[in-house]
Amino acid sequence: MPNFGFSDDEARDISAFLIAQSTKLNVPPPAVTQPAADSSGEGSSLYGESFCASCHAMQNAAGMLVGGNVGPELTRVGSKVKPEWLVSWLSNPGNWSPNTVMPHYRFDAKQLGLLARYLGSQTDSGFLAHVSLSPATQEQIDHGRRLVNERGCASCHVINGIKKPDNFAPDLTDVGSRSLAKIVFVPGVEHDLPSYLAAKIRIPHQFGSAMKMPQFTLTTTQIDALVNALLAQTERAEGLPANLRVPGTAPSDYEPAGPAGQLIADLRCFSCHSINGRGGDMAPDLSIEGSAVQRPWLVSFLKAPNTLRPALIRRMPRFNLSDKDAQTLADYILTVYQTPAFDAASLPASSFTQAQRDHGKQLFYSKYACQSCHIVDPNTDKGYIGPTLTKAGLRLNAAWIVNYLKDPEKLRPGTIEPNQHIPDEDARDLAAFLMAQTKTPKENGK
Amino acid sequence: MKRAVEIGLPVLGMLLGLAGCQKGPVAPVLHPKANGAALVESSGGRQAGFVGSPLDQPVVVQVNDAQGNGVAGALVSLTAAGDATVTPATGLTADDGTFTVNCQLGGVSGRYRIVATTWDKQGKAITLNLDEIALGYQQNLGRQLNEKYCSRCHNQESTVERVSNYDNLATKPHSFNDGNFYNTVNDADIAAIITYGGAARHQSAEMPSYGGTLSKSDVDALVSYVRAVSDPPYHEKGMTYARQ
Repeated sequence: MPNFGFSDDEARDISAFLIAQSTKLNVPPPAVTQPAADSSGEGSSLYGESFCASCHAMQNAAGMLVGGNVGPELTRVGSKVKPEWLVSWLSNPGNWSPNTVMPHYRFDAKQLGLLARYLGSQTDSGFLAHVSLSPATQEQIDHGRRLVNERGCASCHVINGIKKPDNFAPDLTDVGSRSLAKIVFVPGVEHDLPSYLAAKIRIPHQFGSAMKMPQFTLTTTQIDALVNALLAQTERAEGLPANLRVPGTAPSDYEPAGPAGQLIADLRCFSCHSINGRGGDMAPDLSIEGSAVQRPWLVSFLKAPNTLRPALIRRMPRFNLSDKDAQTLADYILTVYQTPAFDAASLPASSFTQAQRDHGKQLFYSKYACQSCHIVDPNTDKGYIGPTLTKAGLRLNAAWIVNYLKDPEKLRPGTIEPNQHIPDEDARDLAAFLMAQTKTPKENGK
Repeated sequence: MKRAVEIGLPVLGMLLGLAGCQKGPVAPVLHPKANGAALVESSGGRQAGFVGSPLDQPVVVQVNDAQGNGVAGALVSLTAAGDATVTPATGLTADDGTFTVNCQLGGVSGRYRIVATTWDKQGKAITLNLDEIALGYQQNLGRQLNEKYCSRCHNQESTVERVSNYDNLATKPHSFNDGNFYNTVNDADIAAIITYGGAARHQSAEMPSYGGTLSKSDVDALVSYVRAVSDPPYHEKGMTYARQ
């Protein structure tokens, strides 16, 4: 949210109006076990294990923001929200906001208590130091409503009882063709359109105190990029013949069906994963994941995701799925998300010979030097750019390995694994070697 | 009528402003509060950026006394070669003796020398040279490819988003600015190592072949990038017209 420069009284009255507009949500409060007094370590661990930081940032001791920018910053969340709202939100965010990108973690009563206590303790000691709030008067509420209307809050926010204003801000469709004669410049701004636009974005209120545009926090590079985009909004661009226009890709409205579809929606898989053209890019595309992995591994991964790429800081969180839910999801992924390029069951691991495995090992360590980026034997291999292959034989299927080795980018577009034009025989023997990796050295007693 | 007044006021302001500028801009005179004995680079030298654009990191120089401690309030002046710019070009060092400037590269690819100067107690100038690298279109394409495919192993430095794999490799890769190595290898051999892998030119097999992933023009771009960031600088072999 940009800075609207509200005075203390204006902020008070808008708050009074917003609080007066709130309605009750008919969700029963979740069961919560109050944690022991000295549980902050456990709560902080749960925050880390749930990978909240993939989306949410917090300031560390040095004042640096650490974490993702998908969800709101949580540094002072304990000063912001009510404790009873926090547990209700954590137990199922979809109850409050049907379109939220936050997944429905299946936290139990103990976890809810720990996480709520930890987040509740993220407070700002200076908060409310100079604010004294008395009960709101009707006059303040009415003033707040006027301000909310005047400043166009409902352009971005959904607010009870306020209609979203039409054309609140000036139309910018052909701002790039605006005549300089129609522009009121201020001293210090060069008399050309790019300088005017940059100055307006940088400090809107220098063009008059009645300016409704708020103050954004943008870097010079960001302002330049915005000015560039605005300058392209010209009458000429509008009149461009249809055959010269390059249409953007329409967003996919892919919606998986059935009970697995409901789970995928409930867990907000699309917030991070992309499937059939819909979804985020934080995590791997799952459109053909069913051709890559084996069922027992997928079920156990969904229940307790482990780390495949040690160098990554963002990882799949643990959703506390039940056995039944994990199996439903795994079965759906294995059945529906298949590539037509090959049959995943066409190369059973039992078809490989010991000679092929030995040759594969030799290829892995010498000719292709895969250990530069992958770990098969944690005692000797060190590369951690690609996924760990310690138990690749339990995770992947052989047909996938062969086809992936022959053309990595075909199956995983954008991968940095180089296409080394590996011959069929080499790919088969490498697959034989990898499919034999079913135990860690520890489990082998080494 | 109201319109005329609205426009009139800024115009009047501008005329006044012009009148004030008749004598030309007057630079504020800086009086150094102290003098140092040495000038060293703190950070920001040898950065590579796209031609004509600002460098990602600021350039920081530090004025030290004879014991190597930072000197606050010493005068530092910087000049950049060609059409590259540094802002601010003159100033006094901060409490820790550092002076921080932002640099914008010039419009032609190549190296831009920044000369920083401070003055000792006797008024003798102490200078420090810093070179910044402006990448042309092809070299900049090479830099982008380097960031995606090469830097994980060839760059020893780790960042939050990219952990370096350098320490995990049995044969350590050459950093791309390692001119002592790359300047001894010709373009065709560097291109062959990228295309066919290290084993193709008696280098480590841990360098995989990228010929199936990168196009020929991608490989050329990478070679041009390696040449651009080389330290010591790379000079193409060819006819020498005059003694350098």
